[in-house]
Amino acid sequence: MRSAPHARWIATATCATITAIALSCGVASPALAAAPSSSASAIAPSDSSTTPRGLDAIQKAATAQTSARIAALNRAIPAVTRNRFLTEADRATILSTLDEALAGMQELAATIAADTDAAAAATHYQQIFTEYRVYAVVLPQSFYAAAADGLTGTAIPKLVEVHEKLRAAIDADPSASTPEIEASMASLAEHIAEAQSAIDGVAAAALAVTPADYNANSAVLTPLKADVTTAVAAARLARLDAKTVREALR
Amino acid sequence: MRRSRATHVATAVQVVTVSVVAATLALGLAGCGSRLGQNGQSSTSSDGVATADSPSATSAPAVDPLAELDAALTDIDRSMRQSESDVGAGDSAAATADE
Repeated sequence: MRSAPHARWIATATCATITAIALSCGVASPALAAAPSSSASAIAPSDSSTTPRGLDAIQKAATAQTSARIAALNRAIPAVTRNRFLTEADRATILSTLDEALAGMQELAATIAADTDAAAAATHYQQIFTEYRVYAVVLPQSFYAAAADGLTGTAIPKLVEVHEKLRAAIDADPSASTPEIEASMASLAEHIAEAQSAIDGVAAAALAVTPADYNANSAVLTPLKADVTTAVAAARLARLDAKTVREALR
Repeated sequence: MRRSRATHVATAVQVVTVSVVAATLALGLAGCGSRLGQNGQSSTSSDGVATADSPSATSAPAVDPLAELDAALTDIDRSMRQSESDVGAGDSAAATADE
C-alpha cells in the first residue's frame, strides 16, 4: 500500500524537525552528528564515542580528544623514525600517514575551538573519530606493519641463516646428529615456515587500511593483527629451537 | 766387595731416576710450548727457539661459523624484541576505548 504524497511529506518534515531539535539541543547521536544530511542511508557507522551536549562541552571534549591523539602521534613519529627494522618505503608511508593525521588533529582542534554553532561543532567533533581513526587504524596499522617488517626483513632471514649454519655444523660432525637435535632442527624449520606463511603480505595489507575501511568494518585490522601475532609466536619458537641445537653443539 | 756392589746398584738407580725425571720435564716443557703455540702467544720452533706467532701471509684467519651463528641469534633477538614491542603498541592503541 503506497502512502499519499502529502503523508510522505509530513513524515519527512517530522523527521527533519526532530533532527533539527535534537541538534539544537546538543543531544545528537554520534551517527547523526557525523552525517552531513538527515538521510538514513548517509548515517555513518555507529561510534562508541558520544558527542557531549552543548557547544562548550563539545569544545572541551574536542580539546581533550585531539590533544590525546596529538600526543600519541608525537610519540609514535620518533619511534617509527628510529625503528631500524622498518623498510625505508614502509617508514615513509607510515610517517606520511602519521603526519597527515597529526595535521588533521591540529586543524580539527582549531576548527572546533572556533565553532560558534553546536551542530557544526558536533559534526567536526565526530570527524576526530570517523575521519582519522588515530587509535583504531593509524597507530595500529603503523605498528603492525613495523612488526611485520622486523620479521620479514631481519628475524626470519636470520633464522633461515641460523638453520643453514646449524645444519652445516651438524653435518661436519656426524656424532652431533642425535635424534633430539634432528627433532629440534625439524621443529626449527617448521616454525620458520609458519612465521613466513603468516607474515607474508601483512605489512602492505596493514598499511592499505583506511579509516573508511574501518568505518565499514571495524574488524578490518583483526585478521592482520592475528597474522602478526602468529608470526611473532612462531618466530619466537624457532628461536628457542635454534637455541636448543646451539647449546647441544657447544 | 758386597758393599761396593751395593753402591754401584744404588748409583745406577739414581742415574735412571734422574734420567726419567729429566725426560719427563723435557716432555712437559715441549707440551707446554705446543699449547702456547696453539693459543697464538708463542710457539717453539724446530730449533727450540720460542718465537711469537704471526698471521700467515697465505692463509686468512678462520671464521668460526658458530660465532657467526651467535651473532645472527643476537640480531634475531633484537628484531623480535622490537616486533613484540610494536605489536604491544598497536594493540594498546587499538584497545583505546573511545574509538
